[in-house]
Amino acid sequence: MDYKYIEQLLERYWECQTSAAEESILHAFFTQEEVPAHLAQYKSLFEYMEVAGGVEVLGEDFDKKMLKLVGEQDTKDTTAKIEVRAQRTSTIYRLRPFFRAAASVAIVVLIGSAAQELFEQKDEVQTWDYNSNSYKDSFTKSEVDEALEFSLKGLNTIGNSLKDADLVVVDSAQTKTK
Amino acid sequence: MKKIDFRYDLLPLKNKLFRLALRITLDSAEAEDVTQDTLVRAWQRRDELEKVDSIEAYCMTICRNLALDRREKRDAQHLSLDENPIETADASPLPDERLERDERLRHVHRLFNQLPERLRTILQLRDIEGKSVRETAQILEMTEENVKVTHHRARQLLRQQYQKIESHGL
Repeated sequence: MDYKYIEQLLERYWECQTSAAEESILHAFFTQEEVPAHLAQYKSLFEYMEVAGGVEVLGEDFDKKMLKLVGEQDTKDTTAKIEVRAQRTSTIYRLRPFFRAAASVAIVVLIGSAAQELFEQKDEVQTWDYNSNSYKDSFTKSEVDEALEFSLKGLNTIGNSLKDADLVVVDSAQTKTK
Repeated sequence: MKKIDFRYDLLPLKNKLFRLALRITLDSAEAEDVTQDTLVRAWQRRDELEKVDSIEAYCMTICRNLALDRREKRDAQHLSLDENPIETADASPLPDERLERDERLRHVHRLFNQLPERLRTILQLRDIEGKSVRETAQILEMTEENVKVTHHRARQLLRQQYQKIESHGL
């Protein structure tokens, strides 16, 4: 097989004249399993660059250490921010617990009174008296008489007016027949 | 611009930053410290970070500068202790199972780490992390032209090492 192309690329590689694409061709060529004997010595170079670029020594322990280190500064920052915010929205923020307390008291009172009403109603139903002997008028005799008189008067006037109306009708009927 | 979230915007960069720091310091423990310091510093400057194009490039610049600081300090300590600075490349850590298993890969690892810091950092960014010339220039605070020249030198040095192996027959 002819490896002239690779040899040329390698020559230009040493002179720093290869493009990124050409260098990736060299990388691909030298990191494959089988490389011809006269080029084999350069295999280690390209393999090394591949391996060295993937070295990842620092793991989660380092992350934890760093977050702890930076976290201390962070918490200082956030507490400072909260102080500023508290000053800005002071009155509403401070009264918030009272609003909550007032709301809960209102709810308790509402439920309490509703319950009381319910029980009272039940009591009334239970003590309802159906006995007619124990029934008492809640108004006086004179009031009844007055009412009676008033209604009689009313009826009289209605009767009279009806009579008048009748006469009128009769009169008009007689005049028509004439 | 959007708010920076430590867990989702910064923490996922940890291994990339670690690899860069390790390439510069050649010491796992120091690389981890540098990564930690980089993330903390980036978080402290998050207001500034919200305005940059690439959070990753910004963090990698911080990372490199911190790593270089540490190296300088360490080298100064070594010099004061004994006259001959220790060659760290051979003793550099192997942060991967495959590297430990494979003698050939260990050899390349040493080749890379014996290069001067600037050259191996360029190789790390350009060839291992696959960064573009522009991104690399941004991270290293160099001109793109300078990145290209340095990258070329790094590859040439690597090539010479390979030719040596060939002539010696390893």
